[in-house]
Order: sequence, then C-alpha cells, then structure tokens
Amino acid sequence: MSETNANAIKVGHLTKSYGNFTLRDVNLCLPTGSIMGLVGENGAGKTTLFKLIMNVLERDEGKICVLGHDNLSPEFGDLRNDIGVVLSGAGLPEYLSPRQVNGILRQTFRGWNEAYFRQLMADFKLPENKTIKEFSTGMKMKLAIAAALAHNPRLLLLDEPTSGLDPMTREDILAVFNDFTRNPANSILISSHIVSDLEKICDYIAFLHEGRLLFCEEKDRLLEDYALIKMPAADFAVVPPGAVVSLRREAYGVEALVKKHDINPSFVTEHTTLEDIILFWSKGGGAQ
Amino acid sequence: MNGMKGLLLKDFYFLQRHMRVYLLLMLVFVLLPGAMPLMAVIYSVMLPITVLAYDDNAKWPELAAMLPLSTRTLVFSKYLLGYLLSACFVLLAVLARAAYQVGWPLVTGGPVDNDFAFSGDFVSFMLLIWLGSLALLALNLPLMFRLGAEKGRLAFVLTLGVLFGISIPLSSLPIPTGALLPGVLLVAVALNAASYLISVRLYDKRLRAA
Repeated sequence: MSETNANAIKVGHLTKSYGNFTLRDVNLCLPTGSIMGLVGENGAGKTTLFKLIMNVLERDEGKICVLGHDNLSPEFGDLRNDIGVVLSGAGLPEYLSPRQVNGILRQTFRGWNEAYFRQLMADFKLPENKTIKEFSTGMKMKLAIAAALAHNPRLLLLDEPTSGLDPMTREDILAVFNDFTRNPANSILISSHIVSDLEKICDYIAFLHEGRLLFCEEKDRLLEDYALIKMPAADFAVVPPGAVVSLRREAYGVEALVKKHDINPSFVTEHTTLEDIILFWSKGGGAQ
Repeated sequence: MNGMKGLLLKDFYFLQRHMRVYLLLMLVFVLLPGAMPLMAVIYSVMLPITVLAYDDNAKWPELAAMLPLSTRTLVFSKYLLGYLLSACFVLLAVLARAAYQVGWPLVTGGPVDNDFAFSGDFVSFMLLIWLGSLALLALNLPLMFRLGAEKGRLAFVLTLGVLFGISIPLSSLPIPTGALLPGVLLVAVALNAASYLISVRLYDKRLRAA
C-alpha cells in the first residue's frame, strides 16, 4: 500500500499555541480503514486538533497530511468534498429544516447523495419539514451526522458526537459509524468523553492531556499491555518502579496501573478497561 | 464560486423564516409617496448583517469553514445577498410607480398625484439611493466580518449617520446632474471592490485565529 493510501491522517510534530494553551509536538497516524478515538479532558486540545487537521486554524509548526495530501496544498480545498465533519457546539442554523439542509448541501458538496440523505432521515426518524430548533439534542446530532455522511466522504471527523445523548441513541449512532468503516477505504477520527463508547468501536486510541499526546496506540494492544494490581502498601515495594504508570494509595493499600510485560508473571493482576488506563495515565503517565 | 447558490439559499430560508414582517414593512415603504421607498432600499442592505448575527450565534461560521467553501465564497455571498435584495426593492419601487401611473387615472379618473408619479427623475433617484446603499454595505461588511455581527450592527448605525451627515453638505455642491450618477456608480464600485478584498482578509484572519 502506498503512503498515499496507507494513512487517512498523518500528523507530524504539530504545535499550536494561543493564550495560555499549547498543543505540543503531536504525532499521530490514522491508518485508512480504521477508527481512532481521541480522548482528553475539556481543554486538552481535541477541537483544536480537528481544526488544525481541516486547516481552519493556523499552526505554529508541523505537518498534516489528510487522505494523502498536505493540508496546506491547494488541492486540500477540493479534498474537503471527501471529508465529513461533526463539530461539538457548532452546527447548522436552527431555522433550517432537514429538507432545506438537503437543498443547501446539495449545492455545497460535489458528491451529495440526496437519496442517501433521505434514507438516513427515515432511518433516524427525523421529520423533514420541522425546523432544527424543534429537534431534541439527539435529533440534532443525528441530523449533523446524516449531513456529514450524505456526500459519501472517505474520512469522518467527529467531535463529541455522542455527548449529551441517551444510551439508545448513542448505540444507534455508533452502529452507523461501524457501518461506515465496513468500507475499507473509509476512516474515522472521533473524540469523546465517553470512553466506553470509544472502547466499543475504535481500533486506535489517542490520549491528549493538557495539549500533549500521551499515547496513540492500538486499542487491543493497550488492553493487552496494561493491567491493574492491588496490594498492601508494604508489598508494593517489590513492584519494579519502571513498570508502574501511575498509582493510587487507598485505605486498604495501593492500586496501580502497570505494564504487564515489565512485572513478574507471578503478580496477581486484574483485567483493565480503557477507562482505567486513561484515568491512571492522566494522573501519572509520561508524554509520548 | 462553488457553493454560492447553497449559501444564498440558506440566507433566503432565514429571511423567509424570521424576516417576514420586516420584508412586509419594506414592501409598504415601496408603495409610499415621495422619497419614502428609499427606506426599503437602505433597510435591505441591513439584512445580510442580520443573517450574519444569527449565524454567528449558531456558530455556523465554524462549521462552514470546514465545508468545501472558500473564504471568498463565504464573504462574497453576503455582498451578493445585499446587491440582490436592494436591487429587488429598487425594481419594486419603480414598478409600483409605474403601476400608480397606469392605475391611478383608471381608479380616480384624474391625473396621478405628483408624489406617486412615475418619472425619469424618480428612476434616477432610486438608482442613486441604490448605489448609496451599496456604498453603505461596502463600508459596513468589513466591520461585521472583523468584529462579529453584534458589535458590527452598532458600527452600521454610526456609518449610516456619518453617510447622511456627509450627504447634506454634498447635496449643496454644484455637481452637474449628468455627472452625479456616474460619479456615485464609480465610488460604489470602487468601495465594494476594496471592501470585498478587505473583508476576505479580515474574515480569514478571524477564522484562523479562533
């Protein structure tokens, strides 16, 4: 596979500062056909990263390739026809109805598929003639997702698409994303605070913390490489310090996230979830 | 300019949804006697600013910046909306006067009242007002794109005041009638060309710094 096709997104040494915030030396690759989850607390730099990938924000340093093209190149403007975007807190004006959104975006995207948009409206049970203002949070998000999908993009950039939604709606939306990546040419970069959602659908997890990318790894590898150990404080001294990512001292002893392969197999470890890994890394993990 | 039709469509949907009463009021101005139709033309160039204010609140510019729309298209759509709306109201005002000219004698049996009469002077006056309102649009849109619509609205009222202030002493100058329309046309075209280029730079800067 050529470099052009291998990665949907490739970010190298990306730095952006404004005010008190700095997104520092971020490197990540989203292989084509994969879903990457971007995790991080509010203000970690997730939305900034999305804007930089779309070349809406000016960077200080670094290089970004999207679908095989440098996003500073003149072709990138046209390449936006192949990218679907859902932005948290920013969207379609509320005075529009889905029918009107269809009319507008048909004139905006080269590959707009009206039949597919209508089908998504029906699948999501969205009334075509009501204004967005009359929609619930879940309905608004479904419309935003339909609008991002209906021009048959190859890459979806989804900023908090499941936040504030009930579990049933989240499940429906995650199923749509899974369907999208059944086509091996399609890829998704999705940010969310709901780590369990990301654990369900993502192939890769990137963790941004205070503007730094702490890790960007295959999800299965993360779950395989890390484990939790719980033991009395006195016994903890035998755990090699290099194996400990971070630890929490509690009344009964110590709970720590450790690198499974760096500790003696005789230690009793517990299976860890993605949420445990994120929480422990945010408290003590080093930068990439 | 790719996507222009979609952007104009979006703005017309906004006018249709939220500005019906305002548009109706402007139609009433068009039908009024004397120089009153000028109010409809001046108000019409405020409409792109109102659309900008609504869209800013919805953070539409953030999403629009990620769509396959260039900054030039996003900016020019607001100029074009102003041009089209104001031209429509000039045309309606002229058509209304033509209708009075034809219909008045049929209804009243007498000659049309001077304040409602269709004349070459009225057409020239409306064209002058149209070009003047386009100059107003050109002065204000860069401020809207830089400051955002809320602060920009205040700037619009100030600019309108200044423009009226300037027009009073200017009207007493001995400018030959034949030179007035081409002169204002030249000023309006030059102002709009410069304004558009400045707006593109300012809007790009605002988006990329956000």
